[in-house]
Amino acid sequence: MEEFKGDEDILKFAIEREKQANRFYVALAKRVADDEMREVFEVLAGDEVEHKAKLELEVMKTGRVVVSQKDAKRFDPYPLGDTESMLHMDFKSALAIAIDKENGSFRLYADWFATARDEQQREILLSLAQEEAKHKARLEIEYEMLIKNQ
Amino acid sequence: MEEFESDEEILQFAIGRETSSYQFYTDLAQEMENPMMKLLFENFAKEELRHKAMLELELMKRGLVVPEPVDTDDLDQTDVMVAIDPETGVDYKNALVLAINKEEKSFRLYIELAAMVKDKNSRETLLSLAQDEAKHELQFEIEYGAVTKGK
Repeated sequence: MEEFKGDEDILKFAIEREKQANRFYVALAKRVADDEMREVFEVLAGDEVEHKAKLELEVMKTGRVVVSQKDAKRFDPYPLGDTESMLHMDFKSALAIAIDKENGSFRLYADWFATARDEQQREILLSLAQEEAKHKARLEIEYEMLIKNQ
Repeated sequence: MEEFESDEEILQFAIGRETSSYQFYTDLAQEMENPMMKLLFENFAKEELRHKAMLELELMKRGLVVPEPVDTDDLDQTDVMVAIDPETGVDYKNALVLAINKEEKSFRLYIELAAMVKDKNSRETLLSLAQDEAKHELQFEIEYGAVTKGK
């Protein structure tokens, strides 16, 4: 986590990452024909918006205004990749990419947790790490079902 | 949270924790009369044994002998374990709630242990176990949703 210049830098980075994740799931939800699967992606998209709001609240607690960090990819230890090109993949590949994305997000929050000292912030990071881990698990279950039904 | 002096102590603590979890699911399985419900908890008990083996491998990589199981009663686990009331037993729905709570606490524990451990490989193992516990929690939540929806 040495690539970041303090908590504020990490917060901005994570906010941008959550925005990208939301866009990815919204786009995936529009692509799928299966209603149940669409609902899964819509829930995931909604969760990422909630994560973004939690992180923005942390920024606001420091008395700062929330601004986008457009060069977030520059620092990314767990890159999300090019969302646009992922959306043209077949569904199985898109699911596999989504699993990787969630793994990266989980690792990001777990890494950050290891260096965070503020108790309240640690709680938020732990909760975000847990939600990303559960997203990954949810997608893995869908992936396994897809393979099984093929 | 327990204070640890070395990575080995962290790994040993986690091994003790997995032993307790194995026992927890074995006990829950025994409480179930329905074979499918029994099987579900037996499978989770096996998962915890697999976790224990992963942690033991980390100790062995360091040339250490896997110790006798830690007596988890001696550890401060008041915030990480849940107990089955031996008097009243537990029905399937309540068993699922207990399991969800247990997995949530296991997840938190592994994230905290991963933050403390110095060795990179051990950290990877602990983070992987945290993800496994989150998946278990989700699986129990899905099952709980199905059970409560059906009622």
